Amino acid sequence: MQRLRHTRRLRPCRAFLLAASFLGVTHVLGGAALAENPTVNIEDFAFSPPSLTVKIRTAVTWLNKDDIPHTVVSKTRMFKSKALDTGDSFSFTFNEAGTYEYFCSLHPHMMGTIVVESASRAAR
Amino acid sequence: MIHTGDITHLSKAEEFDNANHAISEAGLEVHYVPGEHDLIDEEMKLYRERYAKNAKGAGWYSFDSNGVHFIGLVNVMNLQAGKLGILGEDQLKWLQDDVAGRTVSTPIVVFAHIPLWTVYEQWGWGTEDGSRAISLLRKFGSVTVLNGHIHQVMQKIEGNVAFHTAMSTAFVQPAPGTAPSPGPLKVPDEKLRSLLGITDVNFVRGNQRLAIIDKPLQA
Repeated sequence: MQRLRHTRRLRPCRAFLLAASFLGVTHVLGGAALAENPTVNIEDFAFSPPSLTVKIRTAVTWLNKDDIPHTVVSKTRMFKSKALDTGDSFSFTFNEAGTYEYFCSLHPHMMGTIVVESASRAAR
Repeated sequence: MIHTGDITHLSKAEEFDNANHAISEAGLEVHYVPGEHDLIDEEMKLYRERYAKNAKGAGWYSFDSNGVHFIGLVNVMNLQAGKLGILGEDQLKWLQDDVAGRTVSTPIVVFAHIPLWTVYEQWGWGTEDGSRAISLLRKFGSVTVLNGHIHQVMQKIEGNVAFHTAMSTAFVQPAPGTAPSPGPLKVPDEKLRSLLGITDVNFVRGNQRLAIIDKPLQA
C-alpha cells in the first residue's frame, strides 16, 4: 500500500514536469520546434512525448518500439490504427486545428494528446 | 483445462492454429475466455468462430462439471481510455440471471483474462466493474476467481472468495511498480522456466466438523 500511495503522489508531478519541459522547448524555439515529420514513439507502455504540438495539415507518425502490440485510437474514434506489432508504425494527417486525445485500446491506461495549431498560430 | 486468454499475440489465424495444436496435445477439454491479444483482428472474427460460437455476447458463458459451476467472463472488450478492464451491463445482467437459481452450496469457479480485482491500477491491472460481479457471487459458500494477464501469481481471500492469478507460459512480467512498464521482463535463461507455469485447482471438500455433539439416549 505504501508503494501504491507513493507512486500515485509522484505521478502527477512527473507528468507536469514532462509537460513543462516540452512547453519550454516549443516556447523558446517558436515554430521551429514543430518538427516536419513529427513522431510519437510507443515505448515502455507509454506514448512519448505524451503531448505533441504540430502544425495543421501535418502527418503524425506513431512508431511501436515495444515488444508488445499496441494501438493508437482517438477517443472520438476519428482515427484508429490496427494493432501495431514491434516496429510497425501508423500515420494520421490532422487537417483541423484542435486538441486530439487518444489511447491504446489494448492497454487503455496508455494515453496521449496531439495539439494541432492553426496556420496563423503556427506562423507566429 | 481452463485457458484465461491471450491464446495468441496478434489474433492471427496461424497463431490460433499453432496454439490449438500445442494445447490439444494435453488431451483435455479446454474452456477459453479471450485476452486482449485475441480480439485485435477485424471484427474479432477469428476468436468468435473458434471459441465463442455457443457463448453469449462477446464470448461469456457458463457450464457445470463435477458439481462445480464454472463461469467464463470477458473483460477485454470495448476498453475505454484511462479505464481498467470492463464487463459491462449486459454481461453483469447475464451473470445475475445465471447464478440466480443456484443453491449457495454450489462451488463457483469464475475466470476472466484481466484480474477481476484491482491488482495495480497504474498498469490497468483490474476491472472497472469487477466488484459488481463478485458481489453477485458472495452468497455462495465457495468462490474461486481465476485470471491471467499479469503473468505472475497473486492471491487473496475475501470471506468465501479466493482470488488467484496465474503464471504465464509465454513470458514474465514485473511485479507491480518494480519496472517502468509492465512490458516483458528479461530473466536469466536458467531461471525462466521457474517463472513460467500453469495453475492447478483442486476440488477439496471441507473437513471441519460442526461443534455440536450428538448423544444417543442409549450407547
